Amino acid sequence: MSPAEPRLWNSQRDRRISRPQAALFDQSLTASTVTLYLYSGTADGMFYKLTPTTGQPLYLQLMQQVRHAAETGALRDGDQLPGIRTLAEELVVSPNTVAKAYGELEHEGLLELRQGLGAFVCVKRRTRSLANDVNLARRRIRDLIEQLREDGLLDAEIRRAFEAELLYAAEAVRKR
Amino acid sequence: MTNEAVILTQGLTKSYGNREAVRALNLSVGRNRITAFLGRNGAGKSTTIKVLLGMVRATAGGGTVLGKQITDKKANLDMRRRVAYVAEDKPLYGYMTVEQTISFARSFYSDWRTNVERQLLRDYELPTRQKIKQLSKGMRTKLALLLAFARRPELLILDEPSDGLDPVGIENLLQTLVAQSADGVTVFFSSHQIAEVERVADHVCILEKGCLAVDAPLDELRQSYRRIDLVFSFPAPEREFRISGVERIRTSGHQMSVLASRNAEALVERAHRLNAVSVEVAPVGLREIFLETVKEN
Repeated sequence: MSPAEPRLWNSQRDRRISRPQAALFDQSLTASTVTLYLYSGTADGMFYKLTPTTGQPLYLQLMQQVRHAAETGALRDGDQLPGIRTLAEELVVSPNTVAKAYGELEHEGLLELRQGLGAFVCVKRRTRSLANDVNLARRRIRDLIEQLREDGLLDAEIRRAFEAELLYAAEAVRKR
Repeated sequence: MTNEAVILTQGLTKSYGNREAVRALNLSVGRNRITAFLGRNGAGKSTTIKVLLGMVRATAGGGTVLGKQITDKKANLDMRRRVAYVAEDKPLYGYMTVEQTISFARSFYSDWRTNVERQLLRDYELPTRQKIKQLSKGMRTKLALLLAFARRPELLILDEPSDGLDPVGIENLLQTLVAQSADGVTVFFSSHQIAEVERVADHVCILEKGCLAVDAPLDELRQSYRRIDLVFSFPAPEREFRISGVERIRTSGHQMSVLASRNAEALVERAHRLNAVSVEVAPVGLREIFLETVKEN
């Protein structure tokens, strides 16, 4: 549980991260978006973005982003994710948030947690084809948005409608 | 193990004259979590913390911190060895230098970590030879934090730890809290920085006029609180929406805005049944939850 040498400061000293200074101030101004560019030895350029105010638990957001990265091929079979502590410090979220996300992903079979070694991605072949589905979905959404614009809807209205439907759908699913 | 309470109070009350600062408080803070303690100025946060630490005597009720009765003097001493505390007013001796203050504090604690002390001294860029009375408010806060973080406590109690810190300082503080939590330290902190709390806290307690108005995991608040904006083709039927879980309804002609702490789905169904022209469901941030909670009375 408690390592002899507490690495309180690794996030400031040995992180191989370019974190634009401006982002710090953006955060304190908008105070709603946490954006980080995350580099680790094996999962290069992983990009996690947790938004505390979306009405969705942060661990679910993190799960979805790891899942999405695996589906699109940004994370590959055998890739190592940062440790719970490292990722929690990078994202500045509670370690429990990362632990819960990793735990649930392990339960889903997408991650393998090896004691003392870290979290490793296990992508089955079937998941890979989802990358195509995602591309297809994006094309369909693009068409739909085009159509709605032609109907005279403003982008803000389209966005609100999308968000409302997604939120409502998510709630209906959860209730079941 | 994780559900074990490190702080537990029953009917904790503290009165000053005929003013009740804390009223029959039943507080339970879980181990290995980051718990945020929110409330307006004068809501009773600091008083609660001081009673927990045995610095102020409770008028009624009682409780335990790390399993030790807060009213028992001997138990209290043992508990204080395992708790690091940063007070609201960051009391330090003005005539001492930063260096002297640190070595003074170091001599009291067997759990002091010199390596962490040195690292923090560098990170915080504290002027070691300067007298405390010459330090800025932010620097004083940083020094007070250093004195707590250099220890290895089981429980960290921080009263307004971001007081006087600039955005970079706050970011550093939050990272340290996260690191402490990863080391297995339970963190209990009061704050007015809601946006920061929203990122790092596992659990949120909102104190209002000495009573707990909200006591829930942050994820639960995120998932259950919703604002539902409705438009009808007739005057908004406010009465139809007064069901349990509805915290507030605002009506203006055909429009209605409902704030729900739960039961959002039932409200949406009801709106569809009543042929609402427009139904929009939006999540509610902690800031809004806080403002609505303290506005209520």
